[in-house]
Amino acid sequence: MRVLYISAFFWPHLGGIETLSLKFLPAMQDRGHQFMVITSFANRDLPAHDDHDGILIRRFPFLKAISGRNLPLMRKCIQGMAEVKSTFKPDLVHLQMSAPISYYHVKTLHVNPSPTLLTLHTCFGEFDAGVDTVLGQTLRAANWTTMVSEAVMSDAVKVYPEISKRSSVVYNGMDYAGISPEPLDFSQPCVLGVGRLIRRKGFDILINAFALLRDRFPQAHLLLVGDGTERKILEQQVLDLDLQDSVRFAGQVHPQQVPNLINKADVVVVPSRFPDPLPTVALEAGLLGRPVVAARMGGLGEIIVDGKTGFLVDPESPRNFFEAISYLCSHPQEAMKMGRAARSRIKNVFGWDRYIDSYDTLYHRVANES
Amino acid sequence: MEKSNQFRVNTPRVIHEMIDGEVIIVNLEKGHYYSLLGTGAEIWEYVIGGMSTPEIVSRLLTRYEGDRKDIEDAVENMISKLQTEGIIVQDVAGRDADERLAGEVESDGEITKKVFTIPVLEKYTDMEDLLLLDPIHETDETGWPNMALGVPEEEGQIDR
Repeated sequence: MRVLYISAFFWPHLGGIETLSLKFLPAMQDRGHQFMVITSFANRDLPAHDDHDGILIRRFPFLKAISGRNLPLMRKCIQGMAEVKSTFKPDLVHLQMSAPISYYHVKTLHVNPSPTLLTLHTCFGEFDAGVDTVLGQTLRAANWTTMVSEAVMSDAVKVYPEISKRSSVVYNGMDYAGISPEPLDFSQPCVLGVGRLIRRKGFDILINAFALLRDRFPQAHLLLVGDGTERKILEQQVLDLDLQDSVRFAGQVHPQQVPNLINKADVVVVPSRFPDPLPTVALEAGLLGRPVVAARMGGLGEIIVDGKTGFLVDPESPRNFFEAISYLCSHPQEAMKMGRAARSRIKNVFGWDRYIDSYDTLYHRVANES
Repeated sequence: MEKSNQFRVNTPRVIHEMIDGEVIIVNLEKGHYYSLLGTGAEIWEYVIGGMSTPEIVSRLLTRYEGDRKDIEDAVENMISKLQTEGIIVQDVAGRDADERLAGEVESDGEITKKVFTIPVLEKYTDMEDLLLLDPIHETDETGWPNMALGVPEEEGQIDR
């Protein structure tokens, strides 16, 4: 089957969706599907025509045209999308909805009309999905929609109830080949936070929680991995709390390095203050046998079984985070048991083969039924 | 023609571009995007060309089959919507004849008329909200790629 895979970002940019796509597309190629990727330049000096391990890539300045309100550039993007659709002649369009790249898809629906499988990665709680919106038109144009978590599904149904008739949850898959968990230690408790250093990720809450933890466990240390606009504010917060000897900012690291960092941690914390749809770090941490302490937000409640594979706590409460982390540091045997339960759960519920099987089945069903 | 019947694009708040027969319009103040196709794009060209509603209707009747009243209603509705959305405003100053599209056209023979279809003003109100929704990972929550909005760039420039 010829599949046009539309994603705002793609290799060499490596965020959550892109990292997953890099494994997903070759696996689907092995099932006999042929892909063409349409993506943006992602603010990099990249060729418009490219190839990554046999996957053809076409790049257009989709997002720049919109953010710059550059109509001539938008014209080029619409014409480019139309040209790819008419020459590639896809049997199916698989659209990863994360940014307004879907506008260009909606504008070119009439070119070589083919069924659309839409994947939602984001909670759209405060959005309008009326007919006067890109979101609304994208949802209406999709023949089937997959969501990465029940939280995203529940949110999507709120903004567009009709979607419940032609949608399903497909959890992202974790490919655990070659990744083995290292034993938990807790002699010098290592707490890890991974993600963009932006306000909604809540790392300021984690730092405040860690300040309480260090009073009880002076050997404890906190590693924050990632970068973002809040970094300077967070660094200042660490200085103000006199935590500079115990907190380290590792900056941005390649996604392939993250499992190694998780393997050195005793507790992984996800303190999001927004409905995080399905944070990859929580899946990776569980897969590597780490108990996770997370905010009871978004898809985190689907990854973590409270009290069995980690703890879910009220967001915005440093004391709640502190108490949960402190409990794990004080009860290493129980923490190890939770880690084992987490690994088992991730393998069973978020397995790779299940993920690929689900999409292979959906590709055929959506293409044939439409 | 009375000057109050003429309209102009509400610049600098509004930018527009004809793309393969489709008019794309952006209200920079609201961040809303619009699209006009077919008869909508044609009416747009006449409106911004300085033609009055009767002139536009007359022009359309030379090109389309349809009831005069239906076409009048469609043109008035479209102009009303464009005004409501702040896309066009009345051209108080008016325009000289040589600045306007001609209201009357001389037929140079038999024209095969097409069926008139009611024009639709498509609207997208969330384009820029979606940019903010899922900012690229190494940038901040103000969106991607953190460019000053409303600053047109050189045609053909890419996001590098």
